Amino acid sequence: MVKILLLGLSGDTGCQVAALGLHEKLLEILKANELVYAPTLIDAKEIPEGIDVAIIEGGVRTRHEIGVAEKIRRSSGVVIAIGSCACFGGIPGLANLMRGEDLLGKIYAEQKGTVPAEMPTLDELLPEQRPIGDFIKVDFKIPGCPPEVGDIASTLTTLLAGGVPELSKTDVCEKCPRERVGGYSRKLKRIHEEVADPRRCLLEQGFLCMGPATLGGCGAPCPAAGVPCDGCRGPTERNSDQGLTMLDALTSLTSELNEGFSLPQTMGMIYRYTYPSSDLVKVLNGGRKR
Amino acid sequence: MTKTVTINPLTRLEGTGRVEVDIEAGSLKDLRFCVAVGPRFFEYLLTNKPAEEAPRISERICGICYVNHHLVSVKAVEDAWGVQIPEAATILRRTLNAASFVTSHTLHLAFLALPDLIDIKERNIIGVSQASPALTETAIQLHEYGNRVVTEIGGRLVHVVTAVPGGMTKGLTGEARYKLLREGRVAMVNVRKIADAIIDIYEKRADDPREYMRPETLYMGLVDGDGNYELYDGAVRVRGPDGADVVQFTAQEYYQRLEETTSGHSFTKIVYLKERGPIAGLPRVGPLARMNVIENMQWPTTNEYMEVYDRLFRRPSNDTAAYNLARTIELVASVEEVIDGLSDEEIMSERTREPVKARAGVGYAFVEAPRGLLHHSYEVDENGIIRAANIVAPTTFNHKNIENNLRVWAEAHVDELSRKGTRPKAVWGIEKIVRAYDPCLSCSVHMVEVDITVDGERQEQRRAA
Repeated sequence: MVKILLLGLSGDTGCQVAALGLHEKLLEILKANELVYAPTLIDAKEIPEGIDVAIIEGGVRTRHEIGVAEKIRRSSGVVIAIGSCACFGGIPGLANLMRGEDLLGKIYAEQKGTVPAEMPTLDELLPEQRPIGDFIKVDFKIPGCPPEVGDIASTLTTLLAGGVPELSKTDVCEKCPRERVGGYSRKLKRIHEEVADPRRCLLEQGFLCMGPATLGGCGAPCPAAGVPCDGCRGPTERNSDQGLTMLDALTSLTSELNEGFSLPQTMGMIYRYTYPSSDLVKVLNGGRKR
Repeated sequence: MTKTVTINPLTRLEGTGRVEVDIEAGSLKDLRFCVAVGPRFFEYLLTNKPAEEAPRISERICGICYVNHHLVSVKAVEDAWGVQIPEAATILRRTLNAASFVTSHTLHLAFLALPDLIDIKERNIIGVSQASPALTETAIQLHEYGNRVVTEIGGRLVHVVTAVPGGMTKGLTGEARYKLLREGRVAMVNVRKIADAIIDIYEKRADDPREYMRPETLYMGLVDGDGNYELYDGAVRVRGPDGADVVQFTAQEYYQRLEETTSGHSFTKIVYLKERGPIAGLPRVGPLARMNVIENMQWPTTNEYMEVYDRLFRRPSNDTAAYNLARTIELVASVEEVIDGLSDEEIMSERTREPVKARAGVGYAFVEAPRGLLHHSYEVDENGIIRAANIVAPTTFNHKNIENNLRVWAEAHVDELSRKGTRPKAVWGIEKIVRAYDPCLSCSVHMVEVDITVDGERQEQRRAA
């Protein structure tokens, strides 16, 4: 009986919902093992000692969440970061382009349609959204927004059988059903402007598809459904910085960015899930460790 | 001396939250419903982003209501740009939205709420699966069906991708559609089994007004042109606790009709009907509210079950206990609406989208999410870049009334809360009420954790939990 913890920090519970997609398989895992703490599913109120496998979703945005992460690390044999918020900071990390205290003023006092009354006290809020690996040692990462159900299942079953889980070594393009025919659009296009050729590589057609810079293993469902990959699984094994990898590719492929696309828009496209853990941020911070 | 009973964390719901009850000299002094998911500032992080990307970014607000965020977001962008979409795209989106109700309501009823409604020791999904293996299997099948429809129309499960300004990037044709239609027949059988089981529980339930309380509030929800049930379009109707119409308005009237304020003690924005003010104007949203604002449902099987609902709760009902039965009726409706959508031959049209042009403007939209009314509005510049965003999620609408509901309950049960022996049952009573609303605490978007000064030991415990 392996003791399992399942907890969400600052995130959207989507990873846990994805895990529910395992259905019978999840019930089997839960019945064969012991779920000791999982507020979404069971009523245990205290994080116990002696956890074997802790699965944490979500990033860290409050002082309280640092404490929770540290407590889990102390009590657990193996810690798994599940989802791109926990692994890289995720979409909420895009708010790091503004500091925490300014954000509160913006949302609570200045927003249209809001009559500001008392302001919240801010002492619990950290200046930035961070991945949990910035605060505690993480043994395994299952990236994705959310991760593939298959990755969750194989990581758990491999771990529970005493093995070492592994992720894909390829990029998203490997399994993409679209064809590269050669040649690239000179201009970057936006998804609403043109109905893309359903068979041809989206990047070749000028749509900003993050496929080449993104960890594979998902089966490329987004390009298959007619939209570019937006990079939710983070960088590939070979390239640590997803945004710079993509920027590098773009500069050699296209000569014109779309009108209206300045730096903030581009950041939202190439660093959508990984801004807080990017090399760029490390460089901006002078290599300081947080 | 004030004694504080803390329920932390609230369990079997989405996100992190707690309830704190202050009792002084045998009476209730204060009660706070606090949301502790780290705030993620989506309204800010959407600014400076291309508007056509908003449906994919904003759905990350919630791992359960992602479909609804995706759709309300694309509708808001289309409103700003003055875009009309092909008929097939509307059917696809309606069917997708209904499918999200199949999944979400099944998840809530079978895996989160049922443990409170039946007599089992281990009150959770594992306990239910041991006590009622057949019902669990049925629920899993129905949940899977909802997931399959979402995946097929949305392009993937959890965080769908196919809605773009101008329509849908993918249609639904041939074998995929037939398969979902065939499976839909099984889903109809399954949803009846689940609805019958829950109605059976409600039929036997003693009618105790103190169990969940009957707070008299406003109710808010979408209605179609005839005042009937509507999840994707239509107007917002507000009714009073007696069922009297208060006002009806469109998404574009948002700022004339609704207002938000902040609160020192809850750190949650509070939404209210402007003309009634921040106390009398607080609405309830979600399944109970939708039952109270509509005239009729439009599907035959749903209407059979609706008769049972009307017999047990008689619309309009203020009884919080009715939430789960209303949710059950809606679960039946959502399966019927999905099958309706799939059956419509227009859904197979190859024309599911048109290229569109960005322009400056302000766009407003509402959809119904499983937990209640959901609003997005965006101010967009001439390049189609978002300059300001406003998001009001169902739990932001409900939050203050959940707290008020708990307060009247705690006043009536202060003795049970005070005594150690009866406290666990009283705490369960509080959790059942919170859970009835199926709150989505991640969805609350800009809620911030409340820090309350307590002695060192308690603080430590709180961090640990």
